[in-house]
Amino acid sequence: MDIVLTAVAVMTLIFVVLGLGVWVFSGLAIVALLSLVLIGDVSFHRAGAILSRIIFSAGNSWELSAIPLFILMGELIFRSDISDRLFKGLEPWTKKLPGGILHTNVFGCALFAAVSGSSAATTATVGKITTTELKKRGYNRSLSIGSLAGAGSLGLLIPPSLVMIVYGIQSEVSISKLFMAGILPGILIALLYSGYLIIRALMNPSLCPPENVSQISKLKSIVLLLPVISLIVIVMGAIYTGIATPSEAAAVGVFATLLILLKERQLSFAMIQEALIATLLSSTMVCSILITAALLSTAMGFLHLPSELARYIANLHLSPAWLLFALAIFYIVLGLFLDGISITVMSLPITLPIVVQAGFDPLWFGVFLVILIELGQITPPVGFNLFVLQGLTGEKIGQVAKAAFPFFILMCTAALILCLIPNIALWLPNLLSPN
Amino acid sequence: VTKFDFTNEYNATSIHAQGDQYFIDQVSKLTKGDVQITLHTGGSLGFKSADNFYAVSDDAVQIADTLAGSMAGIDPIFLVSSLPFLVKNEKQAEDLYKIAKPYYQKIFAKNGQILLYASPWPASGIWSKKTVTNKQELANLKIRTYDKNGTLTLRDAGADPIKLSWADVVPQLSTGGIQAVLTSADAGASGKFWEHLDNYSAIQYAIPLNMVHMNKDEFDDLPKKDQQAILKAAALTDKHNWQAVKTRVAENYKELVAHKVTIHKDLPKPFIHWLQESAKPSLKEWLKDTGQPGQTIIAEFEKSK
Amino acid sequence: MLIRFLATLSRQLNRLSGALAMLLIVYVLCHILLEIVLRLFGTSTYVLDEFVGYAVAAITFLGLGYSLERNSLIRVNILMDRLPERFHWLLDLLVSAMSFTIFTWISYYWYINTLRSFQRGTTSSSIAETPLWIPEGMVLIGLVLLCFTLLVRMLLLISTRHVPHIELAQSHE
Ligand code: NA
Ligand code: NA
Repeated sequence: MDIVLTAVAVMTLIFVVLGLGVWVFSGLAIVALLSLVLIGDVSFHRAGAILSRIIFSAGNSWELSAIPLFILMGELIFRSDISDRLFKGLEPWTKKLPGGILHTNVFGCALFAAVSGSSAATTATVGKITTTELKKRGYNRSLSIGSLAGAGSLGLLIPPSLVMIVYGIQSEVSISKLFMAGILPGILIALLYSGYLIIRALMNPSLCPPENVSQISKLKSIVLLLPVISLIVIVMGAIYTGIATPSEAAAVGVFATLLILLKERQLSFAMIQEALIATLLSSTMVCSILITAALLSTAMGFLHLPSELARYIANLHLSPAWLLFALAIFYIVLGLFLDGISITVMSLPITLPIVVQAGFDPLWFGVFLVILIELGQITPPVGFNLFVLQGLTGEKIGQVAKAAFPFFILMCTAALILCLIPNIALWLPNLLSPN
Repeated sequence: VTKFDFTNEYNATSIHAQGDQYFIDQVSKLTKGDVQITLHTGGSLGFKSADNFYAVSDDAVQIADTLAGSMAGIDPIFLVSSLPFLVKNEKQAEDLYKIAKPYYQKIFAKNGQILLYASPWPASGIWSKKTVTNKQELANLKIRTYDKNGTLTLRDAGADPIKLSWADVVPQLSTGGIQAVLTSADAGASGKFWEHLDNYSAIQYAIPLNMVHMNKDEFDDLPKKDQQAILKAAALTDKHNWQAVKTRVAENYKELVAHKVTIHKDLPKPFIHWLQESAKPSLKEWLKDTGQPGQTIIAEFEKSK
Repeated sequence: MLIRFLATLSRQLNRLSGALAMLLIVYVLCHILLEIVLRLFGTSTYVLDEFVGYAVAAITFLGLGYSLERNSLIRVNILMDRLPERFHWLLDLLVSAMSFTIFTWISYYWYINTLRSFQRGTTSSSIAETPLWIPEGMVLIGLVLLCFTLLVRMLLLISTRHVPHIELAQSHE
């Protein structure tokens, strides 16, 4: 079958199956099976052998362990008064800023991204802490969910980053340099988001309720922020001194949270039990979708879809600028229904050589690619940040996707800026390690 | 036209992927395009090396390139190519492979598969920050190892072996969490280890093999002439790969020198002897695990030296 | 009568496997922390990524039935919202049947594989030489329990003609 037609057929299948209201995790498995059998002409018997093995292989993954642990950390913080103090402590800093503590979402995610390698974990943890509080205070629902969806995906761009490690291994670009290259674009995106929040708040003050003018001085607010600050210092410290690997950071985070709660005398057996129940529910939801998304990726691999599409682009012999544009469309389209790591692995053997041939620095392309992949996290029908937020807030997926849309546009803008000024990515790695 | 999918875990520029592509090109040429094979590099089909044996057996995927050591839990005979300090160079590794081949073939046959060809790794050595050329310098060295025998051997040799996933290796090197890595010059070069490490000790720890195996039913379903063509392509690739690994090592060394990595080739005899002694328990245990076949292989190999 | 018994059974089984999954989360935490401490002293458990991998797989699959009963697995309700209330159970039945079918089918193939690992004594190639049927079996149990939970859900839907409403388990059991 024609490759474009195949892509359209798969997308239709996803929309129909998920639209029926099948649980997302089983819906993805069903689409994987149907694609293999109906489009790929694979026998049911072979499809059974394929999918049963992949479902175990994808679940049996050390990298996934960060997800339940980071969620546990979020649940513990949520159940203590650390989150409450975080908002109180931020008030004196943000009260002059239009948008108020909505900015907590953006800067919370940017900071948290520095300890977590995945965007699902970033969104889930920060979201757990902020969504309830922002709702309680009467902030505009759509802005608070949207900013969280967008900023959560910074988890991939600000180091450490799982996708960058995969890209580095595949492209033989230095992982350390990739990590450095992601920092400034990450900050750029965070600033774009904050700027957008400021503009929206200025245009329509009713989106953000007036905060009770707090009497807390900036000095006193530091005391309130101390638990969160020390958490971040401990976890980042553990990673950047080499005591823990990025994959282990989540365990350090939970441990540090437990210590702080113990010191503050807020730890109880009932609380731990509640947190564990909530963690199991959230992490099962997230991990099961990640696992069956791997089934879908495998099915697409057997259909040769990503590689054929990439080859199609390669054969167009475009000028460098049009090539980037075509690749951006290509990755955004794949990002609609596949997860970032799979897309990277399946397409790179074909796209990377064309990109290098066209004269682009593979280090720069890595950052560009990560931004494109981040976009896929917030686009329906399969967008992990959307799923996480749907689970957290109970809002409909359509609402969540709509709320995330302005941030999708902002991230596209960031990708464009990165094309126009490549040094945003390259400056820092070249400064710190020339040659 | 018959279409097959071929999975491997390594990136497109790796020696394994290049060998596999060579095989695919040969098959295409020899069958005049009757058999088309698509290579999926980087584990992009979702299969890890540990999945491959039964994935091919069950025809989930038709052909796979699999690290032999990862099949040790299916039969310990697969460990022979990664036994520490058994072979000294590529020539001996090839001899050992030829001696052990009938045993590999038997296991694959019993599971509905055929062994097509082997894909050897460049020899593994020690990448490190400081020089590691004697027993004292090895003592308490935090070094990342990749398999059970490496861990046991280096522990007995006085180092502190650490097990980490490959994705964690570079972050840990950059922060100093580990000081050394046991791997080939090739793998280190593709991870740009010279950004963090300055030395490579060519201890010739082992020359492990990858094996490329195919589902037997799929093979049998092909017309006779295509079967012949595949076997011929496999034989050609086998030859190609044993040659490629030698050129690869030479290229790697040039690259290392260009990046100011000091290569320690002629290591002091007592150091090598100490390492070999430390590896003895692993060899002994392997002989116990495999019984008669293992002893026969080793005996024949010693005779061939 | 039988349906009510099955529903209770399903609840109890899921509670048990949920508890096991939570214990495994605690285990993962402890093992990683232990490894960090050991590494500081230049030693290791040598099995961290392997065992934690098994545990994560087990946590997710053992948690599936548990989460399904508590309505915390997300779905897209575009169609449901447009359908009159009295047809909701029918749509839910269709969706449950589809899910039941695919996971029964996957479980069947995974059962064949797990049985083979058990009969042949296949182990991992690590230092631990873990018998593979153990982690594979945990995933199998989770899958089977998921199928059972879906089956009970279908029976409940048919008998009550109502979508089962079990509150989101924010509070205690
Ligand atoms: Na990150
Ligand atoms: Na998406």
